[in-house]
Amino acid sequence: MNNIEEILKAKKSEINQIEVPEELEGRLHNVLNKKKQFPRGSRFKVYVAAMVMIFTMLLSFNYDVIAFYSKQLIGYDQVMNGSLKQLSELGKGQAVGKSFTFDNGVSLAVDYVMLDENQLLLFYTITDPSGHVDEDDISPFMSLKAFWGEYHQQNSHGKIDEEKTQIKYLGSFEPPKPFEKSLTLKFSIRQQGREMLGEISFSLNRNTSMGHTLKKVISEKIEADKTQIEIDSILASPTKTVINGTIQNFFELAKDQLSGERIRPTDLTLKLIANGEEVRNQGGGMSTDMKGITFHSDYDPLPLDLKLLQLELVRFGADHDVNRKFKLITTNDGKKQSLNILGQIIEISKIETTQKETHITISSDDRLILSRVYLMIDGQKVSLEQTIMDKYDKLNDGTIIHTRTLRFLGTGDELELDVQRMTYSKDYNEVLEIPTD
Amino acid sequence: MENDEFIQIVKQAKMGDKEVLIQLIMSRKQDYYRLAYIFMKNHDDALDVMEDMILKVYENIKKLKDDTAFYSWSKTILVNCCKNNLRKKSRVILIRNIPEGSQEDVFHIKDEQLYIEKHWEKLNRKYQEVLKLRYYLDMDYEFIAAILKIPLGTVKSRIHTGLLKLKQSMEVSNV
Repeated sequence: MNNIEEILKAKKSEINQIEVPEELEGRLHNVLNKKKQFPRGSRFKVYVAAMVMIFTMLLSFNYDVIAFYSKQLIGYDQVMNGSLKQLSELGKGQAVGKSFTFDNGVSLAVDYVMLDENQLLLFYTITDPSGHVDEDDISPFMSLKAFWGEYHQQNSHGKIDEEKTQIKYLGSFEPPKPFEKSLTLKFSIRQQGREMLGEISFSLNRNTSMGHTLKKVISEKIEADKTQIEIDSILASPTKTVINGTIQNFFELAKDQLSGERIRPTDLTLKLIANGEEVRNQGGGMSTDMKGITFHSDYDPLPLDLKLLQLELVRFGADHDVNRKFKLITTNDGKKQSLNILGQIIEISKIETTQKETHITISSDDRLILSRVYLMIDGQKVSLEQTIMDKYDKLNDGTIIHTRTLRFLGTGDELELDVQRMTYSKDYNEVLEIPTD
Repeated sequence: MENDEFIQIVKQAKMGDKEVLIQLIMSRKQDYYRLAYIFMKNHDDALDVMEDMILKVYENIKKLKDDTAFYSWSKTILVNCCKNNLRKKSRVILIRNIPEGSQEDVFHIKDEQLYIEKHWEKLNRKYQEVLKLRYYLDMDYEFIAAILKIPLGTVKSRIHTGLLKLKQSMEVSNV
């Protein structure tokens, strides 16, 4: 055991060398000064009282609606968005009402299913009578097993009750193929390191399926910074709207990989506008595989009286391979050096050397990050120790300039900044019209 | 004498004097910062939790009954802030929060520098805490018990078991 204690002691001397950063005092000042003198207290109580009153009023006014829900979807009203509530009011979907209980008393009940071409929505409840439902380790990797395939849960969200005995979940699954009828929900809970399996079978009533409202191949390209974003198709259904697209197909991806100029998209913001109003975004995803880089972007359902549908590319950003070295001018003649990397400007505002360290202060657009950067000190490659002294300045035109200092260990006369990768994004605001007929 | 003066200062902080409160913390800044650092393992997060801490301390200082216990009380708060933060962090990593130069290989370089960290990770967090407080910050058993709010006996047994487990883990990987 002595051996271990020695290692710990060695590590301790390392920790003893940790210096308290100078910015600490300033930051403590800042955060305290933003705080008002002894806040909350009585005013907080007033808010709570007001909330209680509003809730009581809402509940009493909407008694009919609540009574209607209670027949089928008790407790889910806070989990559903507006359009789902409408659908459930119209009685779309199918009640299931089956449950499974694990050895430890935790149970999962499937209450309700809604199906359309985009997704299968499963309304389920997890109950733990002991009041620790938030600690139960039910895996989110659930799936619906059917004869022809297995359909996985893609996302879910839920609401926990105050006693912590119940969570009402709304999970979105891939839609089962049209000929699947009997489904089995497979799920698991972890207990003391062991995984216990559970399942619930039910048969799907296809008559309640809602199909789609708009389905179109679009195949339009939008130019964006050395690449093309292709909007492939749209599939709108009563529960959501999905836009599918491609950023690079397999050949473009392979070509860039070989030439060492790969891009890895980090930020793709698309805005869907129906009848001039923005449709709320629900999420999205991106994947890179044999098909290239593909993405999907999910929105709320489209309005029923759809006349005009537009898609706007708001922003696109990616991590780019750079692999270039930039000589830094260390002479202090007051002139600022600026680097042009892939058309982006990075200004070197200051190079400082302390006893053992080199500090380089740079400024750029706030969405630009040198995601893999080294400093060559007299030909020696040194990795970045940390980034300190962040500062953001907003210019009149709305751009934000981020100034920060890169800290490297070591000093020398010849300095070269070795930029291997860089992330940046740009605004585009290009609008595409999608035919609605 | 010194004690009286200290109590006077804490009393002043209790009246809501922000400046005095900051000075109280700053006078032991190394203790606080290192405590935060061994939990959070990096500079930025350590600073963040210290911000959380000073807000909590400021909001709750009136509830502190024994003025002489200011340091152990505020360190308990700091430890709780660290734990809360770690719990949140284990759930989400925001893309925007990925700092400069943080590609995978940079992480690896860090890993090699801290080879003992790998073994730490395998150890249950409750053992990590006591061992780090004991060996890195030289705290005595009573103080550890006070700031983690666990009984003295538990501290001793966790240190013992933790050392054993750490030893086992490191030997296994040496083979």
